[in-house]
Order: sequence, then C-alpha cells, then structure tokens
Amino acid sequence: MGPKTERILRDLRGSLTVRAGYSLLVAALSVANVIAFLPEQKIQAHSDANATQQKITDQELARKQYAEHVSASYNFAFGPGNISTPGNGAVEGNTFLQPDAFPTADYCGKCHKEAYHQWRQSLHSNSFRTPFYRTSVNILMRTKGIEFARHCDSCHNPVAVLAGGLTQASVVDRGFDQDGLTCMTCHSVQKVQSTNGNGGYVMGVPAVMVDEKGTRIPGLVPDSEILAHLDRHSKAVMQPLYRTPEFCSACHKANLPNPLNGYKFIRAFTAYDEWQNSKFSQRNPLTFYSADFTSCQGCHMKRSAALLPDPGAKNGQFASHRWLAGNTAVPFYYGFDEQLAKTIEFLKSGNYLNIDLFGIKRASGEMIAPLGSTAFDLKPGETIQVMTVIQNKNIGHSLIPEVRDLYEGWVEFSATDSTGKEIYHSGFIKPNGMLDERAHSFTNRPVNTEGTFVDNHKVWTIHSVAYDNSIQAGRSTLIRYEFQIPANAKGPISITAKVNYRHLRQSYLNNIFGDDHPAYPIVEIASRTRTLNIGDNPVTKPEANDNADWMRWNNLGISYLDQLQYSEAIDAFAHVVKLRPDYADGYTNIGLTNIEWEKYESARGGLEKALELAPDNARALYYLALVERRAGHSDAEVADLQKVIAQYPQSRDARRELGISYYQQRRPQDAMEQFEALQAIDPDDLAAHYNLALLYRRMGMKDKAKEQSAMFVTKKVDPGAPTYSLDFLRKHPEISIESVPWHVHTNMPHTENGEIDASTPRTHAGGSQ
Amino acid sequence: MSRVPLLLLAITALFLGSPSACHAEPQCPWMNAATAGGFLNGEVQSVVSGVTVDGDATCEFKGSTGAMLRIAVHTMARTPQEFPGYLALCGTSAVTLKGIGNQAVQCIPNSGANKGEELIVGRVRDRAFVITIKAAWIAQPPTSPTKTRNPISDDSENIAEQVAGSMF
Repeated sequence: MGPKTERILRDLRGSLTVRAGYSLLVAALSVANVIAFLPEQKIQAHSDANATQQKITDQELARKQYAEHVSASYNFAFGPGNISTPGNGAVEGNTFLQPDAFPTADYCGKCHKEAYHQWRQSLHSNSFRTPFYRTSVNILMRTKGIEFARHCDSCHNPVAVLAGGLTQASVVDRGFDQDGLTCMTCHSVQKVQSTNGNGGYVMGVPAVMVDEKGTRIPGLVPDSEILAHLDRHSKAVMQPLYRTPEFCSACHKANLPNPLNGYKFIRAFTAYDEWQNSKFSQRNPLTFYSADFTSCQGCHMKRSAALLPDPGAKNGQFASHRWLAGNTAVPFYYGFDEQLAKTIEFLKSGNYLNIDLFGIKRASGEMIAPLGSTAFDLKPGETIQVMTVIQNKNIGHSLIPEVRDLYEGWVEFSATDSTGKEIYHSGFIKPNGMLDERAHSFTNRPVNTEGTFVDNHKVWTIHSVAYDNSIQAGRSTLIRYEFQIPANAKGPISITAKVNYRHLRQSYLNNIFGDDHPAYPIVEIASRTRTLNIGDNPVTKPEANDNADWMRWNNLGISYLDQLQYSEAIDAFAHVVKLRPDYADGYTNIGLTNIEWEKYESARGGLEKALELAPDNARALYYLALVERRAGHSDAEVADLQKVIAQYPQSRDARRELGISYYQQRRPQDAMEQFEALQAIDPDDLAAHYNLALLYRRMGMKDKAKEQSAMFVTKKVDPGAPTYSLDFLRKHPEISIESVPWHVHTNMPHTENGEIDASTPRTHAGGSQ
Repeated sequence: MSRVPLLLLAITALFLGSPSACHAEPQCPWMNAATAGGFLNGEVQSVVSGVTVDGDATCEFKGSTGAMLRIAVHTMARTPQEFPGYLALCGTSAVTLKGIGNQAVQCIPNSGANKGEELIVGRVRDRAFVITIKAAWIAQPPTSPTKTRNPISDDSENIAEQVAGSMF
C-alpha cells in the first residue's frame, strides 16, 4: 500500500467518522424533536376534539331553542313529534333544524363555480319556486291545509319541512325557498331509510368539515380551513351513497299514503323500480335485452369538461349538476337558455328510442313486413294499416316517467302525397296549442271518485287510473295507423312517425298561466320516415339507426305480448329464431308467451331449446321453473330458481317465486328468508306482505304478522276503484279506446256494424277504434 | 239562588273575557312576518288591510329602522284593459323581469309618490300585484353568483318570487 493510498484511506476514514457523527447527531435531534413535539400534538388533537365538541354543543343548544320556538305553534297534525308526515323526510336528532344550519349555495359557490353555475339552472335548484310546482302544491295547501304539503316538500323543499315551516302561522323565515334543493340538502344526507321514496332520506346536521377523527363539525368554517384540509371537507360533503341509485330513490319514487289522501296507499311513480327492472341495473334476469351497468347518475350526471373553476372536477371533468332530463319548461320560463339547449340536446341524443315503421296490414289481413326488407305493391284507393313499433331502447326507466299526468309525450303520425298534401295526420297540435286528443300519447289518466280526470296534479284525490300507455324500459309498443290511399294517388306517399315531447301538458300550462302564455317547447325526440310507392316497392337499404330485422321482429313480438296478442307474438318470435337460430332469448320469448297464454307445456320446448343454446341462462331458467311448478316438479322448480338467484341475487321476481316455492314445500324458514330479501329489494311487494303475514303468524311472531297484514291491506288495489276508471272512460269516448291495448288509430268513419265505410275518409285524426 | 247558575255565569264570563283566537290578526297570504323580517333585517310589524271576498288584500310590513315592504294584490275583471294601468306605475323606467309570475317589471321611481322606493309590478293570471319596498339595499346590483336572470337586487328578486309563487 503506497503513501498516497494510505492518505486516501485515512481521509476516507476521517470523512466516514465525521459523517457518522453528523448522522448520529441528526438522528438524536430528530428523536428529541419528535419527543419534544409529542405532548404538543396531543394537546392539539385534544384541542380539535374540544373545538368540535364545542361546536356540536353550540349547535345542539341553538337547535333546541329553535325547535322549542317552532314547536310552540307547529301543527303536529300527524302525531306528536312527527314533523314530516305525510312525507318521509327524516333528520338526525328527530326535531326541527334551523334553516341557517344549511350553508347557502352562495357559500359553496365561492369555490365550486362550475357546480354552482349548473345547479342554478337545474331542476334541483328550482324544485320549489317554479309556477309549475307551486300551482299544484298551492291547491293542496288551500284545500286541505299546508301541513299536507309536507308530503310534496319532503322532496321539493326539505329545508322548509325540516325547519318546521309548513304550518299555519309559520314563524320560519322562508328566504331560502328560491334555492330549492340547495347544495347542502343532498350533501348532508347521511343515509336512505329504505327505497320507499317520498323523501326517504335521513338528513344529517349539515357540516362542511370533519375533524381529524372524522367527526362532523356543524356550521360554517373559514374558507382557509377548508383549503387547508380538503380531505376533511370532502369527507364531510361526499359519501359513496351519493353515487348509488338508492340515493336517487329517496325522491324519485313516490306513493300517496293514507295520511295524505285519507284513503289508502297508492303507488304514484317508481322511477327507481323502473331502473331496477331495466337492463341497465343488471339486477333483473328477465329483461329482453342486456346492457352495461348504468346508474341514474350515469345518464343524468355525465362528466364533461368544467368550464369554470371547480375543485370538484377531476382531470378537468366535472359530474354534471344540471341533471339533464326532460324538463324544458323550467329553463324556458326562467330564460336559462344554456340549460334549455342542453336539455333539448339530451333528449335528442342517446339513441333512447327506436321508431320502426315495421309493416303494412292490408284490409284483407295480409301483413307486409318488415318494410324495407320486403318487396310489395300498393294500389290507389287501398285501405292500409301502418304497424308502427316504438321501442324504449335505451332509457333506464319508462317513457314517460314519473309525473306522466302532467308531461306530454306522444306519437305524431302523418301520411302525405307527392304534392305534400296531407292524407292522414294524428298527433297534431291544434291552433289553441292543445294536442289532438286522439293522439297516441304515452300518458296515463288518474281519476277521482267522480270518475273525472285528476287535473292540476291533485294527487290526493286519485282513486284509480283509467289507463297508462307508458312504455317500460326495454319494451316496445305497437301503434296501428289506418288510412285510405286516395283513389287518384299516383306519386309516392310519405309516412312519418315522430315521438314528440312537451313539458308540460298544454291544459296544465293553461291552468298555471291562463290561456295567454307563450308556446312551450315541443321537442322531437325521434323520427322515422318511409316512402310508399303506388305500384311496386322494392327492397331498400336500412338507415343507420334502424334495428336489424331480427330485432324488429323481436320488438313486434314484445309489443304483441304486452297487448295480449299471444298468437301474433309467437308468430313474431318465430321469425326471430328463424333469422337468429343462435339467439337463445328468441326461444325464451316463445316460452314466455306460452306461459302468459297459460300453455305451460307448450312453453317447455322453447325454454329447453334456449337452455340448450345457453346453459344456465337465468331468464330461461326462471320461466322453466314456472313450467316445472305447473307440472308438479317442485324440486326442479326450486333448483332452477336457486340458480337464477345465484346469478341475480337482487331479482325481485326470482325471490318472490322461490319464496312461493318454499312455502308450497312447507319450508317456512326458507320462504321467510326469500320474502324478507324481496322486501329489502322492493318494500312494496304485495306477495311479500301477504306471505310474510301468514308465515310470521305461524311462527308465533304476532306483531310482525299484524304489521305485514296491515301493509298488505293498504297496498293492495281497492277492488272497487276500477269503477271510477270505467266512469271516466264512459264519459270520454274520444279517448276511451286508448285503454284497449290493441286499438287502431284511424281516419275512417265509424259505422254501426263495425265495418268501415271507405268512401268518406277524413284527413285529420278521426278517431281510434 | 242556586250556585249552579252563578258558576255557569262565571265560566261564561271567563270565556268571554279571555283573549281568544277570534282576535288573531289576519295573516298575509303571500308572505309571513318572519320572511318579511328576514328581508327587512329585523322584527317587523305587519298589517293586513283591504281584504276582499276574492282574497285580495294589502299587507304592509314595517321594520324598526324605517324599512318597509308592502304587497298589494288585486283581482282584475278585464286583465288586458286593466293591467297596463298597473304597469304604468313604472312607466318608461320599467325593467322587465324574467321568471316572476306571468309577467313583471321593476323600477325605482325618481319622482312621484313612490320616489326612492322600489316597485315591482306584475301579475299571475288575472291578479295584479304591486310590491313596494323601502330599504337601504333596493338599488344594489345583484351580488349573488346565483343571479343569472334579473338585474335587480337579490332580495328584491326573492321577494317578488315569494309573492308571485304564492299567487299561483
């Protein structure tokens, strides 16, 4: 080893010694530092907990005083301490909550500018103040009393309900009304009570921060504190629950309970259930088609680029707080042009509907179908029926959903000659803005005990529904339009079917504003036109949005099935399997139709063929179980249903049928489990109420049996109620035919013997036969 | 004299003499006092007058600092003929408001009986309303980020909405 090397090594040793010493010193100081700060940290944590507790105590004290003040004059019409009945709104602490416990939207909007901007134009922020809502709820307040409005306002104005504002001689400052569902109503919900709706949420005391232990801190905090602890802010105002369909069910499902109508429970609308039964939930094995899972938020809160600053945006994308849907009336009234344009765009997007001018039925009964794929000829003077199939293809709920007595969705069908002259027109708008009453409309007709239409959404007077022509998610409806081709027709005839939507029905708009209001927007959601030549009609190419022929037949079959035309449905499904012999559901559809037709043994072949193509297919297994039950093969029936539930644990139909199977097998405990599981999915299922009442009684659980029995009695349809529907239909011959599933819209005059006099056709509407 | 009639007389006298609900002040149909107080920044005294069988009336809320809110509602027999008369209260200085009743305008007259007060005049179907506001904030521009439609103060718009909303 040379001196140079020795020096290098000595230097290195020296350096290592210094470094080691330095490192030791740093480590010692670090430990000392940690130790020195430990008590301080404990004090800090203790101090945070104290501060939180102090805020909670202050809030509780203020709330107690407020509640006492409000309670002194509050109308507890529905029982002592009951603040929200006939609604279901609930709040932690179970007493009145000061309106100013809810931080205002302005407060949130300081940072969440994009959310704010969207929300202000949305239906949620305008849930209370609009004339469209006030007109109806004001009638309720004036005729029955403001306390009954707690039913509606549990969803439309939760702050007012929970603050105790809905009472005679209210002492509550209602300055918050204009914000409707403000940010901190949704963002304070802690859980949903059930999926019963009517405001089935449990509101927490609003908090925009949690402390370091996750305890919610009521009241406002300085912006700087939120900015310093964004994670704690997020924990206070966001929950996984908010991203679930069950969250929406709190208000997008409603019933009319006995305390409201003094009559009995009547289901009002069920957007949540409709979604759950749709292909988008992936919870129902019985849908005709399948799709990727999509929640309510998946359609109505789509992410898009945030144009304004918003810390809630992720990668520049923000979940829409516009909740785009069908309401054009609110943005039109307030002049929210951006919201209006986006709503119209939403309605026209998404391939929600498919309109299929499917076929032509000649007077002889011969059917030419599917149009476009079949060559045919037409003669002048011929009377034809255009078979129009409307498919609710990609909506996760019915068309029209929810308050369909106020919304107006309909089919406009027209036939024009080569000069543009109208031959037939159904579903037109009259000069006074009213819709042709004979239009095929996706509406219902709720009626009261007088047998008259329940106008102005006076839901508390509803006793029956004369008919309901909405199309459930994934299903189709067949509408028949009959007209005569002019005897002198030479050139081609153009036929068009459109689905139009107006928010709201003209007569309701007239009730709100009088007759002199501006025309509210009518949006064409979908349209399809075909040209019919006089003479030869060759095969033509499909358009981009047209369904494949097998699906066209399938949709026709579904329509026939829903219209109780079983023979025709089987014929249509037979075309499906002919075109798609590999399509298991085609065979299942034949089986299903036979079951509906009560031809159980005929059903077996189709279902077994489906299972041959797709072993363990839950849909086929479900229907086969029903066939096995009828055949007395109880074990096979149970085995099939168990397989269905293994794949679809949230299938209400499978749970119900398996419960019945177990009941019949005298396995009460197993049956009870199924019915209880069914009730957790659908709290209103009648079979669950009925069977649980029996089972609980047998098991000696008398109180529970009594409870289920009472629910069954109030929820089952009043057998006398259809009388009111018949009264209504008798008084309204112009639309009574709409209650007949297979009705025909025609411009041909009606004759005594039921035969049509083709010599005097009319252009406009005519009637339905 | 039996004691029973005396007792009955005493009870009757007690009932007659007690302050009962019969003497309750009529309430304003379009806004409660707490809400009016919220706008006028404090407790208010309210008076409802001119009540008609049609339900028309005038409500006046007065705050301790001189602030005042008056709501007058009248049913019109012939709306097209009568309503322009109401609109004339604002005249050419009227600012058209969106989303208030069927139609509404606002102004702060700089002369006449309502000089310095804010007027919001509108109608819901065949009923006209005239809102008169005397408060320090009436001339303030909208400040709230929620304001997206009318160039009037936040509270004025809210008051007009409350009134018109109750009239639907």
